[in-house]
Amino acid sequence: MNTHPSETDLALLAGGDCGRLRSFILNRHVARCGDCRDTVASFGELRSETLELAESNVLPEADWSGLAGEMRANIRLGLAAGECVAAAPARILPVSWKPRLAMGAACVLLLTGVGIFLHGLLPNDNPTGVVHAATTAESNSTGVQVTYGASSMTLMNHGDVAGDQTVSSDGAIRASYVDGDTGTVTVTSVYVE
Amino acid sequence: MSNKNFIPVLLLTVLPAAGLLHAQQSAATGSDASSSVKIDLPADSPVTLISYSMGQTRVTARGGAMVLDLDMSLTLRNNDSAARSVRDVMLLITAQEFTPGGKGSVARPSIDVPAGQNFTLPIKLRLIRPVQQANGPVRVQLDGVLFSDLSFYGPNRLNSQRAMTLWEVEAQRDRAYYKQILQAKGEDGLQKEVLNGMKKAAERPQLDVALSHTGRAVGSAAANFAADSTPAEKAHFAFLELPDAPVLAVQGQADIKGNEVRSPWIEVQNRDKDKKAVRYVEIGWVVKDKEGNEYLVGSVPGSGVSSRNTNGAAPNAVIQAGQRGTLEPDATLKFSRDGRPVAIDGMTGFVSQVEFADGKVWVPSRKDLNASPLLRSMSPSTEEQRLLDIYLKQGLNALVADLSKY
Repeated sequence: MNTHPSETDLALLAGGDCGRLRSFILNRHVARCGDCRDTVASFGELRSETLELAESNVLPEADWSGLAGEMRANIRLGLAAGECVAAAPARILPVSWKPRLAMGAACVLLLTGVGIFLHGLLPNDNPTGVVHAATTAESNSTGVQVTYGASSMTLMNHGDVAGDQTVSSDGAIRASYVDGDTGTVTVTSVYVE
Repeated sequence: MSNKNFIPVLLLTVLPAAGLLHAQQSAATGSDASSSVKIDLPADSPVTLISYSMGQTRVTARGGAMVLDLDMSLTLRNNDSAARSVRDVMLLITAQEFTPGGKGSVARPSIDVPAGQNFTLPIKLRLIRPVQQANGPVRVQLDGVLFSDLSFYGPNRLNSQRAMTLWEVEAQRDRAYYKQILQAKGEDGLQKEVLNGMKKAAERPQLDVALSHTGRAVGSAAANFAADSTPAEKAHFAFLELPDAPVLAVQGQADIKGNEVRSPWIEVQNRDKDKKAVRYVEIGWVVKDKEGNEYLVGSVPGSGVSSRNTNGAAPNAVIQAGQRGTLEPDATLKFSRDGRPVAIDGMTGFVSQVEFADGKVWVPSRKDLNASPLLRSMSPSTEEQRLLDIYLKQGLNALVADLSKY
């Protein structure tokens, strides 16, 4: 230890109120430092006297009103001094890698992302775009299809003979094809209401 | 914290989160697979479900979307108490959580299933939805059954009675045509006619079409149509007149802008010689691109056509003999081929289907269709498709045998 311990620490050491580690460190210093050893000894003597007084129930008379006035004066002085002193510049801490902080932030981000994704899996009574989506019917080489927003239902051609398709402008598209295995005709249609 | 401690802590944080995400995905796929389909047939249905297989049904995550591929096969039995043969069946497919306002159907026309026999109906379906969207079942319901005597059973929510009756009438027409060829010209003549039919089918160009209702399409076709500052051009239909058609297409027009056609409007007149009222008219629709190629793209239907009469006929009214009506479907159609837009230069229409108020239907005769090069290129009926496939896969003898069945 390069500097002397504070009087508070020495007082606590004298009274046996320090923690084990702190007591060990302070005792090592006191053993090599005469000034501190004297301070600790004086705190010990004062403590003994106080205990004796307490045991004899004899306390010196104190001027309590004077003490109260002195305390108020000190408080006012402290407030006035605080107003006169400008705010001290904030201490800039050096930026350094904080693994715990980084891990915590990563976990929060991950859980937030998972939450958003899982919320998306929940049934949604009003999916985006539904209000303005139009139901359309289409025919193409795979079959006939009715589409609503991002959803669709396709009745597939699965015959080995190319289907023939027609559209009826009242809202139906129809495709017919011959089933290769059975030789029977299947007609698939989609309708837009 | 040292590096020695940092890595385990990081793993302890990341791995549970990843596991949680995986668990969420697995839970979603598991529930999709188990509750993806609900099959519902009425208790008094003449067609009953014997079994169904889910085949290679699977659920996969693709980017931010879940993809459900259903490869089902339904085995149904004709349990009709009147012992009628089933000729057509249509199932309604809905997935309201995926595509509200849209639905689909799978039909099996041109079959001949006697009472007590089974038949299969494949349903191959792909559903795509965003990961965050609620899941829901695919509902499969019976919409209609058509019997050999053209009687019908079913809720008919898709107007399947009309569609299947028209298919059946076209099937009868084409079976009769090929039987007549066989009878008149023998097997060689039949073979020649079949090869001609296959050649026409191979040469017929196809367009991809996107369809939306004009009044509802806010974000897609209609919005693009409105946002484009290029003025729409009013184009008039040219009409092919079929001599025997009970309805005459008088005039028609549509707004054309590039590859989009919007709000077609056609006026028709009932000229049925038997004075029968008309309930439904469909105009075959051929579009021509800038290079002069012509494509039969579909039809302009008029279900519940608005009669232009003087006695205050309301919508859903029929067109009485001699009166006029309008076909005004609320639709925008966008044409493309191989992913490229096909600019429309002109349109031609012809009366392709008529339904009378008594439920009887009219379709063009083979003679009418063969009279015009344009109509010769129109789509074959489902029955003609089936007959051509029999020849292709099994040969002439199999085709002759099939034509002799009924």
